[in-house]
Amino acid sequence: MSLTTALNAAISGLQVSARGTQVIADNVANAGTAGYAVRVMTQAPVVLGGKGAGVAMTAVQRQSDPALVAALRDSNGAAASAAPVASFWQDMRSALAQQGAPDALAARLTAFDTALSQAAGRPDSLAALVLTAQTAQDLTRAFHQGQAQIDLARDRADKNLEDDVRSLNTLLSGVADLNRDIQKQLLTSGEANALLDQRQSLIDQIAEFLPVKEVQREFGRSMLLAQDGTILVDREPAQFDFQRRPNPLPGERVELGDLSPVMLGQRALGPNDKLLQGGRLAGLLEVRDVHAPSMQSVLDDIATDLVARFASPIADPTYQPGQFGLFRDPGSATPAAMGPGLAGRISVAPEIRPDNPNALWRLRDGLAATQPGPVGARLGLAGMQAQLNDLRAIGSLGGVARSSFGQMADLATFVATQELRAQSETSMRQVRRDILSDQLAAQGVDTDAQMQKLLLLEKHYSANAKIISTADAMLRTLLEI
Amino acid sequence: MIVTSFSDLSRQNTLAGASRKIKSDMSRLTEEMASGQVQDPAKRLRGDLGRVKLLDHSIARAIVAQENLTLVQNQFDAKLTSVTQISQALTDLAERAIGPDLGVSDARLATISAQFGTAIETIVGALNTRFAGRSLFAGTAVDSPAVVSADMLKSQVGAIIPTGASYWDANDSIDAWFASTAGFGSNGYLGASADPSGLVVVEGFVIQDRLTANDPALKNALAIAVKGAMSMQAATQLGADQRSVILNDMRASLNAAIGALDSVRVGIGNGQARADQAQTQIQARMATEQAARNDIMTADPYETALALQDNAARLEQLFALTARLSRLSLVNFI
Repeated sequence: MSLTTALNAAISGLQVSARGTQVIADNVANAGTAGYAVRVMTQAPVVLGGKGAGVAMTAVQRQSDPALVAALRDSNGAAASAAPVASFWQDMRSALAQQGAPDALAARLTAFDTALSQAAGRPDSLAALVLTAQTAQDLTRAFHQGQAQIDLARDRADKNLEDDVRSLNTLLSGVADLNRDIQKQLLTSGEANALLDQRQSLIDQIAEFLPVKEVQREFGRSMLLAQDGTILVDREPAQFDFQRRPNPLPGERVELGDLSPVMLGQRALGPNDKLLQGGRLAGLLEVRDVHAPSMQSVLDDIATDLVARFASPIADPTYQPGQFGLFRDPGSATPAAMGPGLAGRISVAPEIRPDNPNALWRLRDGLAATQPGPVGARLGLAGMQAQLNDLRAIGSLGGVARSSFGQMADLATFVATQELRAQSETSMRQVRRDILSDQLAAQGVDTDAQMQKLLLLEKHYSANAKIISTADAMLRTLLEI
Repeated sequence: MIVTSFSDLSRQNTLAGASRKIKSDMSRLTEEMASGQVQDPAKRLRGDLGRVKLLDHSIARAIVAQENLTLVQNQFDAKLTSVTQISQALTDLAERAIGPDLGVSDARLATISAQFGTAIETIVGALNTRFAGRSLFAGTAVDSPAVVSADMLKSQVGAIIPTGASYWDANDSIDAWFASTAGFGSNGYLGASADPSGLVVVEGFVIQDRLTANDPALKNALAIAVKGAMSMQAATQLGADQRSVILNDMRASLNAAIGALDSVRVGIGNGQARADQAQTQIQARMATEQAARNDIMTADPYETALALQDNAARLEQLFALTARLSRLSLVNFI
């Protein structure tokens, strides 16, 4: 080997060490970056004419486990799908059934019932009658609060669906663009790790919206398939569509064409469609089209039952068939004509107002009474209490005959059970995601290991530098002869 | 378990996760320690939140029922006092006014008449008794006196006694007036009918109080007093024998009326006993329900404090471990 060849070999050693240091620096810099795949530089000897001529870097590889990445994506999607449902039931419990909250529906009914008891004990007490009127209004407000929460949840889900579909389309286009960039990069420089990282991040985000499978094609291209085999990205991205319907009304349903499904071409996708199941889009559709309408139906049934209990000659001595009693629906002429969304409309008879004490005798004597009766008559008040205690069944709450308060207790149990079930499902999915995430993170950057490699590179760099210095000294000696 | 052989991010995630879990537990335990209540009763009841809602409702109802019962008990007490006053007034008439054998002179008859007149005022006063602003014997018209004033009563009765009527005719007129709806029913009694429904104290437990001034025993007591005051003048036209007969009749009527009032007092006593019984029942039920609610809602202070201490120790250990692992990096040795 000539001195020049030795010099070249040492220089190649220096270059490889420098490149290795760069790779380590990149790794250490990303030690805290979630989803970053560790880079490992590979090198090989350079052979010229059958003789060694130094070293060359062959590749900088991303150390990524595709099976683990796919499993983590699936679990991310599963967690994202359960989260909106859990959040919906948590909000419903806060609005309707929070233990100890004075504005919970059951607490409001208790307040109304006890005010009625007080008034029945002292029918002549204006304070007791005012309290009865006040608590009746508060009770209707608790229904309105529940309705507002359902409306908000449906509107929010609809808005999130619109945003998510827009983001999904952007991400799918991004993957298609990156496919092209990666292909170009591989053909020109042979390495496209940074772009691969970027594409993995985009696919991870897509997998939160709907579960995807990644298939590797030629020139580093990734093809994305939905669970049912529909191609989402190959050379061109698929386009999803969604029409926002702001503030959906209680009776509006996707089945009736009032609300938009998620569209893929001509295909309408619902929460149970295999393509969406296990992703956030399915979770949002489930909230908007399944859970919120189910809650709406329960709340409306309880409100309808309350109206019916008071539309009776027992609760109101002046009651006429077909009329409303103390509670009514301002949007309907008769109790029989009440439609969906009653929980948002239910109100107290207009003459019964806490700020109108002159008319509160009607609580005792009947809403249609023409003049006040004896102030100590408790018949109407006792009748209202009796109607609250009357056992009646509500189909959406299991059809068991209960007092109005038993129904409220069933409602609290229904909401709390749904919340716990949703929470438990979310926790289970999050735990699985955390385990997989930990496993993936465990394959990330270990700075100790990187420092060990750096020490080796430093040593190699010094050795190569020494060779250059020695070869230089030898050449100088030759030149001095 | 802390994994030390994995990547920095994994180690950081593990430590952060453990710290988050411990801090979340500590926050929950601190709140439970401070409030004495479990933070999430729904979780403890596995979703059956209806149980605690029903208990809360039942307890709230029981509190109001107790208030209502106290009012009812006080009203019964006040009514009993009033009826006892009326009974005492009649007893005084029977024993002091008519009882002693002091002859049947005109002067004596005038004295007796005056004493009956005073008794009218006593009885009217007792019947118009108000408790906590509510008229006790006026039925559902609790804002009105039960009967007209003694003067008004005497004036109305005076108007229906024909001029120059005999003692017996005057008595018959007074009896007829008290028995008639158009007489006492409309012009003497100012109240309304009693509440037919009664007070539902707790489900299935109703307390009735239908005693008004229109009750036959009370009305009769008043009628006797009126008769004694207003017919006695006509008795001066009678002979000594008939006067004695009148006084004997009067004594017998008074004794019968006192007997009837005793029955009324027994009725009130029964009502009081029923209210006491309801009070006891409510208290016992409330105590049971309160205990059941505490079982569900109360966080055991000893267990909570122990868990809190355990968590604090674990957090300290985690901090020590985090600091040590951070120092053990190879970076520090290069």
